[in-house]
Amino acid sequence: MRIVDVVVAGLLVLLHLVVHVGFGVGAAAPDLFTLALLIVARGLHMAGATGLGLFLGLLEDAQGLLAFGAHGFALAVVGALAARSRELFVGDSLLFVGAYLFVGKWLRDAVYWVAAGSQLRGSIGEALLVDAGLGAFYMTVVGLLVVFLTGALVAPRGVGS
Amino acid sequence: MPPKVADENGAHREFRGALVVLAVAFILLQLPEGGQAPLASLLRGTALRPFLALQESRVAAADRSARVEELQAQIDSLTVDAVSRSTVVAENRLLRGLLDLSSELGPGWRAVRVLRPGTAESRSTLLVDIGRRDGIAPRAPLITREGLAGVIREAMPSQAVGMDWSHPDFRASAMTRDGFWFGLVESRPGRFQEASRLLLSGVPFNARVDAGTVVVTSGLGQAFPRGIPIGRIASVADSIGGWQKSYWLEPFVEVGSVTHALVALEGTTLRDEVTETWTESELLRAEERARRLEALDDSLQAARDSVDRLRDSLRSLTGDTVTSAGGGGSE
Repeated sequence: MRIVDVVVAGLLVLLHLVVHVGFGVGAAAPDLFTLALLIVARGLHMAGATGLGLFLGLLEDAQGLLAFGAHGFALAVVGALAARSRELFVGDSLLFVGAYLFVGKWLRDAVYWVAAGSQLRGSIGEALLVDAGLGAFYMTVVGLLVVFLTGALVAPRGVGS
Repeated sequence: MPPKVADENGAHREFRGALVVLAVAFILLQLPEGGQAPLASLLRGTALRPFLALQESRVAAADRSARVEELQAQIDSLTVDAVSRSTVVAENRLLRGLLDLSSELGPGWRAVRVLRPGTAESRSTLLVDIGRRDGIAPRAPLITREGLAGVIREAMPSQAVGMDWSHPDFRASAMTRDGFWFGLVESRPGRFQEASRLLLSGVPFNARVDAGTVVVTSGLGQAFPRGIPIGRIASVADSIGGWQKSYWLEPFVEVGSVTHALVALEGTTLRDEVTETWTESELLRAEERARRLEALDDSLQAARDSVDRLRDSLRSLTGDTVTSAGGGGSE
């Protein structure tokens, strides 16, 4: 696991808490927990990534009163799959990173939709196609910017490669 | 153990670990509310605490900001209220003054609203909202509680046109209030209306008129009744050829602020003397009168407070006496 990934993920977690919890910005701010998890999970063991996802999700759950554990479960699943993806998919192009982030975030929202229970979830079309799609796109754009600026997630390239 | 087998074991361990964590996550999700609440509370009290504190301070700051805006709005409302109230108070004072004056002068005088045309060319000209039909005639004097304001020049059926004392054509036969020295008051226009001044001319050279002496209309020529205040002597303006003097006057009426006045109706005897209508203590400019009334109000309020305090003291003394008398009786 590269130190830059850890530092960037740590800063993203901190920023998420400041923006979402401290300043109360809602959907206008991107989901930086998921972005941090996706960045750092590919360098972690599967159990570690799952545990990290669970911890971040529980922090999210602790702010609400309903469906405690749904965020934790969703991020734990995403952490496990993100760590596993290292052995299934390899690549550091922006297209690959963009697809990885988009799918990761969309999957997180989809698992949350399932785990949140019937009382909280909206219609499947609106939740998974509109809300999750827009949220995933937003986070992907921010994620690509972070990756481009910090070099996190992508392996260092040699000269001439 | 061959490396491949070790890798497979490691992968299996990782997978089992992830499954355990996922199982924990699933169990947490299924816990009843009573089991979830302590964990949520623990997280809020530890990892989330600084961020929740930040949120609280942000909300408090937003509340304070809203409160400041609310207070500012209240201050603005009170300011508007106070400003409009002061206008009403001033107008009330003016109208009361005219009512008093009207009752003292008798029925030959009528209250009018004074309007200004508002153009530079019509400076010193004023319009009165009643005319010939209501008994207004040319040369009728226009007065306020403070004194002579102007004169009507032209009377139309429903309104009249007049000039105030700042008009270059304004003239009034005048005298000192003691009736000792006579002269002619005329206007000396300035570059703008407020800069216009009144000049008392034709006073004999040997006359010694002190600053502050009140000048009133003399009644000569029957244009104005005798005794309407015009102004106070301010200073010597000129001595002409060793045989007459002229004096600058400080007018009682500030023509720019005249909005209501009294006009003599046609047929009113202008030969009557009205000197007694203005007693010595009432010869004041409008702002001096306002200051005096405010001081009077303050004095009245202070007197009211003193009476209240005395009444309270008396009540407490009486109460003590009654109490002690009652106490003595019971013993």
